[in-house]
Amino acid sequence: MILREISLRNFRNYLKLNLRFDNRLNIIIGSNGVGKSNLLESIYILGFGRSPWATLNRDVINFNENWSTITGHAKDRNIEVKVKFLSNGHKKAEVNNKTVKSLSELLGLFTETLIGHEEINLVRGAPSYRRKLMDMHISQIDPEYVQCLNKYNKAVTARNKILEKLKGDGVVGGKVLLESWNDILVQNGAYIIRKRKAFLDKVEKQCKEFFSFLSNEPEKLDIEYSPSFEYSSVEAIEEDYHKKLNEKYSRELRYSNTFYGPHRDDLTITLDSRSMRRFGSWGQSRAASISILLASAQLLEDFYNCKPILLLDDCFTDLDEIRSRRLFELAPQIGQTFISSPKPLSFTQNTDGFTYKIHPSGVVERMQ
Amino acid sequence: MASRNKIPETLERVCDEFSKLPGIGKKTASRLAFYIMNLPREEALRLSESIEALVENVRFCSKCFNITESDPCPVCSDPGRDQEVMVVVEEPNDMFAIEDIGEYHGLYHILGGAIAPLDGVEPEDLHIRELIERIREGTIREVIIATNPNAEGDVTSVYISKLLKPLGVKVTRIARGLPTGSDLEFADKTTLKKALEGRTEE
Ligand SMILES: Nc1ncnc2c1ncn2[C@@H]1O[C@H](COP(=O)(O)OP(=O)(O)O)[C@@H](O)[C@H]1O
Ligand SMILES: [Mg+2]
Ligand SMILES: [Zn+2]
Repeated sequence: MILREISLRNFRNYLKLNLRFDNRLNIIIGSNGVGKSNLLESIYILGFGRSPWATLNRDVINFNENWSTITGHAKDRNIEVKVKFLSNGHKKAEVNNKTVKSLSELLGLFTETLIGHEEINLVRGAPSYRRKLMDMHISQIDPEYVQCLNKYNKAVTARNKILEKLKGDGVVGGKVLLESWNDILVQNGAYIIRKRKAFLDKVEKQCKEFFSFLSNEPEKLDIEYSPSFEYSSVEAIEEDYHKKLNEKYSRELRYSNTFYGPHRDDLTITLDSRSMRRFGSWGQSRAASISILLASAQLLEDFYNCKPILLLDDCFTDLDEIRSRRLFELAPQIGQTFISSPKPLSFTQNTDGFTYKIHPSGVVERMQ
Repeated sequence: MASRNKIPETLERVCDEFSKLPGIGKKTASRLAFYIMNLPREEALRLSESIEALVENVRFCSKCFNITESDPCPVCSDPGRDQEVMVVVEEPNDMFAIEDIGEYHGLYHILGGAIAPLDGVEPEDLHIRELIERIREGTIREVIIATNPNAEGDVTSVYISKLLKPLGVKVTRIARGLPTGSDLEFADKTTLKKALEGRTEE
């Protein structure tokens, strides 16, 4: 869905802001700290119902106010999404003025991919970045996935707590309780693994193409998902999963920790069969990260048959002129693009689309 | 020294009591208190009388832990109900939701919640031991678990069925047919009816 218009009230540094956006390309320029990322964050919240960063809900409310709203209008389907933050840390969402029961109902309306400071570390950073990438995209195309992920995470926390008790003085029926949580862990874990695998199979094909376009070199990019279990069918995963839990029980007990499952998953990303994490240059790693994210965005289009929103927050740093130019060319073809940058980008002259300049006063000016 | 105008102590006490209720903060509490002060005398007293009657007359059924004015409750003491099936729910409201469909004629057992270690609810805090005792009596053939379709409801269901299966009783679960994440008590009648019909073996 194309985001036609946004209005912010008391959101971060914006007391009142109304902006219209171009269908293809929107560039946001301004010095450090003027509120570029804040603006992209507000767009992200319309899609996901929460901030991409681990901020407290009330942190997005302007320092001097006690509530905040973000309202987004879609262009093509007359949809209005509104997210409201309250001072007590609660938030509410409305779609066309009707309150939704759960914020996860927003997923799938404005479908989005964020490529920002963290995401750009996809290849080099910790495994949690790669899991977040998968979760961010699969949850937009599969509501069941969100539920499973919630249940799974609860099961991990509950198990660890029970393991700790079992190690200590034990609880009545503790072992049966642990086995019950094992069932929940395995059921939901197997679903998550299956969905991640299917997602990555599709992403891999597309991202090779994007990577060679961006880098203009014939290197071969591969992604491999290696879940901790025998992968052939759901039954096989579940069986192997249970087997591992049984085998490693004493180790898990010793550390009161759950060692196996999708919360420990990782991806192996290689360039010409060499680990990119270990041998890739920063530029190559960034180009690979960006290709994977663009490919994930492309999947959103394949699924919904309408273009996603791309949020490119400060991601031209570290890319050379050619790669930057190509990314700039490619992104708007995949979806409605928002680019933030502290300095004007040389290659953006004479392109259509909207350019906004944010002044340190918070005033946002449309440039011609 | 001039005396400062303070909120009367009696009012403050009412506000304190109200703000102990779930979902009610200080602000709402004082709004409620002022509202009551403005009510006609009889109406205000009717409220306090009904609370008193609730506390005095309504208790938990000693068999199924339903809320009731007579013990055992009307369901447990009705010989016309099917004595061989039992639906297990988290809260009395879930039971009322199922009764509302009018399709189920067996017995109930109310757990009083679901296993939620993160909120400090352990199996011992629920009426699980009493459930096992009721099944041990041997009349029940099938136990239908109707806990909510979330992590807590799921694990409670699995836990109970692990304990009941060795007793030779058939254990099924209905909530699979319900949309995940939605509470039983709020499910619409048709969905609930379908879920009850389409239960699966746990
Ligand atoms: N809740 C808030 N209320 C007011 N200002 C805020 C709030 N949260 C962050 N800010 C301000 O926003 C600025 C950061 O904006 P940001 O969008 O990250 O800048 P950049 O343009 O560099 O991306 C900081 O100066 C910070 O003080
Ligand atoms: Mg920024
Ligand atoms: Zn009863």
